[in-house]
Amino acid sequence: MSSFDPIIARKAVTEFAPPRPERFRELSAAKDFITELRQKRASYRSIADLLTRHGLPIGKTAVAAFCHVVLGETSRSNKHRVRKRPLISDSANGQLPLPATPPSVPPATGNGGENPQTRVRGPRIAQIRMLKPQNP
Amino acid sequence: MKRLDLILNGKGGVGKSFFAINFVQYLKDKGITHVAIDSDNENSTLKRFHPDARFVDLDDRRGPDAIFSTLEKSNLVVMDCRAASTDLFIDFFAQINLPTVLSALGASLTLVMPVNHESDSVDQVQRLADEFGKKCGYVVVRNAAHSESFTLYEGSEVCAQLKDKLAGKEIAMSQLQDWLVVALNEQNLTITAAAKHPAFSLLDRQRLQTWQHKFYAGIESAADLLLPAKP
Repeated sequence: MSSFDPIIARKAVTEFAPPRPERFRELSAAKDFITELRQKRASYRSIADLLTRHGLPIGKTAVAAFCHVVLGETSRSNKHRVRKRPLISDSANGQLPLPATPPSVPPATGNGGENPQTRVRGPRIAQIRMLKPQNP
Repeated sequence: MKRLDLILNGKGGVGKSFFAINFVQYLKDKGITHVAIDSDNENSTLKRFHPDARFVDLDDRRGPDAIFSTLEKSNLVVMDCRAASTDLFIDFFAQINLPTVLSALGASLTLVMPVNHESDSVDQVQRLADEFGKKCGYVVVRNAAHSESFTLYEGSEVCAQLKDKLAGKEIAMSQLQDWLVVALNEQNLTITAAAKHPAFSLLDRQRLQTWQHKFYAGIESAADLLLPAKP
């Protein structure tokens, strides 16, 4: 047995790094599948279930983290979803944005009303429809 | 036939609660059975003057259901809707299919919409009339508390539409002297109570009664839209 060499030992200590588990090592093998499933609008839970059934036991949280970190998906929680309400422009001074409602969507009228699904949350500027002046 | 009166205008400060307080007092003075509901969780003004008024939490997704469960048991429900609640009611009524529910209950809905000189208040009336059309009745309350000019409302399409096509009615709510408004608020007194209260001078009691007579006359001119239909 060789004698203890403090210089060599110091070098070995300096270079020592504990083996770190590679993040998403297992999921990386299934990256293409996950990408394809996400393109098919599969939920994290569905993907986790499918992979688990096919021999890769994994939770939906891990799938979500993989999608965010590796596939670069942006997280979008329900809290941050914005309801849509049409913006009404003030044509009198022309300083405000145009209505958010596309021209193909008819404006709210008499007996119909506006669709809550198309309503954009945001400022609402009064725009009163005035009667046309009558000629004498 | 039952009646649901919603005092609604998304614009704040147009006189919804002031109207509600005095309308509920009218119902009490005339002995008309009703249930009053306040929905303003930040300034429950109606409940301050009428502590027997109930409260409905509009932030609870099933909170507004209580309006109709109350209407099942009462012939007249009067609700003071808080500001910025127009979207909420539009969505709620779409969700429950309002005409079907009203028909099942044998009830009619009247929207009581105070307006003033501001375009926002008129815009709200326009929005409600556009949304509900002939599904309900309309009473516009011209609130002269801040200005006696209603130029914007009078020149609007919705004003003509309400009169000509939707059988709407208008009530004038004249200005009450500012010191009387302050005194009523200081003591949480309705006009009926203040008119008998020793803290008010004889002349002030007379002023209050004069205002109330006019207001009550306005209510009676639109009684067919505000009160339950007689069998």
